[in-house]
Amino acid sequence: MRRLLVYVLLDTSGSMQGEPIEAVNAGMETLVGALRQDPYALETVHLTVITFDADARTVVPLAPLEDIVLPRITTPRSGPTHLGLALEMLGRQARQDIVKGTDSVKGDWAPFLFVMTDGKPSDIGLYNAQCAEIRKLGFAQIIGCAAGPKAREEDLRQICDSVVRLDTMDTAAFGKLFQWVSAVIAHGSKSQGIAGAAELPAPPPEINVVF
Amino acid sequence: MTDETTIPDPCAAAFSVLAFILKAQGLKAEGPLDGADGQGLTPEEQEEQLVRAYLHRREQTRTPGWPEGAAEPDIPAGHAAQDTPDGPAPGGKDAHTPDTAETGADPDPEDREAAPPPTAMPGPADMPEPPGAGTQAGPVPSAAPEPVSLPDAQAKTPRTAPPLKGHAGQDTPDDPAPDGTDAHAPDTAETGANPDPKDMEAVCAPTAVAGPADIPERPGTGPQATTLRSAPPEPVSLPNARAKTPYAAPPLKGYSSLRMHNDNGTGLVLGADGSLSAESMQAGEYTIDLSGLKDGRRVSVRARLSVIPRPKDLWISIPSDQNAPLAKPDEAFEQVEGEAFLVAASTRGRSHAREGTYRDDHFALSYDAGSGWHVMVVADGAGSAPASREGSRVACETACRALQTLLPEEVDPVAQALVQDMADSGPGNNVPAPVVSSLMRAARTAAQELEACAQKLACPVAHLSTTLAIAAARKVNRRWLLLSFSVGDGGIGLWDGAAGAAVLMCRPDSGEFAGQTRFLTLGELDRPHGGKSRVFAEIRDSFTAFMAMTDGITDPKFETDAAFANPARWRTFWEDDLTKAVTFAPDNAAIREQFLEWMEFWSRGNHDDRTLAVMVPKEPAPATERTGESP
Repeated sequence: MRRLLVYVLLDTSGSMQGEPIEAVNAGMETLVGALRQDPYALETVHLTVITFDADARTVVPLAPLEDIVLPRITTPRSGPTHLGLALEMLGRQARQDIVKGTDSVKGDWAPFLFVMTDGKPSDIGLYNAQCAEIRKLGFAQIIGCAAGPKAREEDLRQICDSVVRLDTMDTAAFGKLFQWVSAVIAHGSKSQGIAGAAELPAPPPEINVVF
Repeated sequence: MTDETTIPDPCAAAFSVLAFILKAQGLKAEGPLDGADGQGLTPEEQEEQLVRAYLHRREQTRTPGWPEGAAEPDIPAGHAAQDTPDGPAPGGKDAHTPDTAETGADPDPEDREAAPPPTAMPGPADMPEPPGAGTQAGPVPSAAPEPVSLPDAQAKTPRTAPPLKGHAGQDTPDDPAPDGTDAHAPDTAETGANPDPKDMEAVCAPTAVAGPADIPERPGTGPQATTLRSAPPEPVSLPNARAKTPYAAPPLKGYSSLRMHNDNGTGLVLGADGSLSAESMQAGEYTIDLSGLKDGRRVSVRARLSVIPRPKDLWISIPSDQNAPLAKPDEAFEQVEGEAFLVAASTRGRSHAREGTYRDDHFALSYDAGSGWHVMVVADGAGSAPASREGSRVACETACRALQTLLPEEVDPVAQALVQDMADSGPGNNVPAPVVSSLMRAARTAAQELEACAQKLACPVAHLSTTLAIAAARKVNRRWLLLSFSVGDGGIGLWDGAAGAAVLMCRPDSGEFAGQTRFLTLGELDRPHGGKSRVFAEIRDSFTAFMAMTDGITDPKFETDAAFANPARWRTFWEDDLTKAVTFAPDNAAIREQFLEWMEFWSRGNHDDRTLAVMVPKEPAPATERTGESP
């Protein structure tokens, strides 16, 4: 069966501590809950969640939506934002996970990637190198979310097809973000076909599309 | 301020007593067990029941004294197990007074074996204590307050604290009480001082002392609070359940003596082994309130459970707006009789039905009695192109109409020779030029018409993106000449059941990722090798069925290009699937219902529009044909 692989990269650096990370936890539940209400997504979406701070961790290994049990995502008290490291881990997994179509194997849908960060990559060298690598993997959509005042959209633009900006990092804002992300995934799972022509569903007013 | 090493042992007995009292308060707050009548209970449980009943009765009749509300939320859970392993189990029977009876009550059989001896009960229960005194237990009015540092402990990781030293029963009324929970046990005060050393020893056995870790924190002393009622429940996640499907979760790890306090409407049943099960649950997100013994103390547990909806329940069908521009019926069926029997059906995919959007697929059938050509065309409008439903319609109808002119014009004059050549040269030969020309011209006409249509609608031609698959056939001297052309995914195939042969009559146009395909455009037809290699021709004395279909059929039924060329898959598809449900015969009055019903087949993840056109030769008797023995 054709799967729609969805990768979610979440910033868990020290600055996310407190309400932001709680909001992200709630947001992830919103995301998974909303996707489970969409039958197409429920049947096809396979989710991977990777968090990054000083380290990159796969907190939800690739699993069908119906089998996902979300863990509680936590943050260290402080620490850098190793987004490059996370991309490296993502690339390694995605190359393994993605089934490409051949004569005898049914290919997956082109995968989706969401990257949420509230800062800028601390490992900028690795980050720049990995952006190019990830681009080669054939993601249908790479969407970045710059959350809070310190996040830099320019950094995300290197890798993302679209970048959205979240001005506040409270539960309401993240709730809206993840709700929208689920709409993007649900939309994407049934509208692929014309390369580059897929338009994103309009985001709610709380979320500013940067470009 | 306290140097532990210099303080004489042990005040742990005081702790155990405090724990005991608090435990009793918890028991009181819980009240008697519903429906428990002593039947099938162990002696310990009966004892507990007795105490519960007593406490309940007392609660009903007593005057205020045991602060209501305070009792419930502030009971340090850890004290439940803080007992002497070998202490007698008073169970209230040995109680000297009603008040001490409370402290003797032990709600849990597992706890009971660790119950402290009654003599060691300082019983602060009724001692008015100002808030804040958490670390001291036995109230001895004369003793000076002596704060003690206790090891830090966390709710999730109960640990055994070393026995408190030098504080046996030392407490004062002016020493702040934890939060006013403990109160009113005047007659127990005397038991707080100078406990029997033997008892002390037992009480202070490290394994039996869990309590201090859970005494409410107060400034300067450090211990963390974990209370049975007010502490946040320990979060656990249960494995996901499926709606309307029997569920059984393995016993929760790390807890024993589980109790269910609230199933929150799930209907979950707690098994004796701690497993949770249900026959059938409604989809949703639930939290289940439980409590259980963890390392000997009772903690509340909040289990999170996701009951996943069944996809089938989520697929709803909203009719599309038939009055809007470019409206298209949600399903279509047509049959045409010539020298072969042509049937086609097209249905809207569930993904469209759920949103009330239109079917993007289309088909067209025709038979020209004059020329003898049968034509079937199917097209799949791109889901992401806003007007693709119109594109597929225009492409189908234009190509079908064009072919009824082009085929007689180009192929018929040379048909006899052409068939003879093909028969002589065997399979795998080049497709005759007139065939390529006529089919390519038809496709080009359709592509041009799409551009014209885009102009008319004032939209980019990409908004009309569609695939196209053409299957055409006529009889030439008792032999069937079968032609095909396709752009994009979907497929055209010829199945000859008698010979066990499946002939792939299309070029796969799948991309690396699913859903990536090519569409009918003039540019695509002009690509080098973009046109000619898309045309196929075949001659056969007989065949079972000639079919053209969109990817809504090929994806679920054949999955891959390799499978689409696999005779075994074709036999299964035709004999065990399609003709089990549909009888392809002109005299079958129910064919429309049969075909449309079959089109609704369930296949996980495959909910695209579906279009299938089938051509079966008329000469063989239907019965013979279905057994695959076409003459």
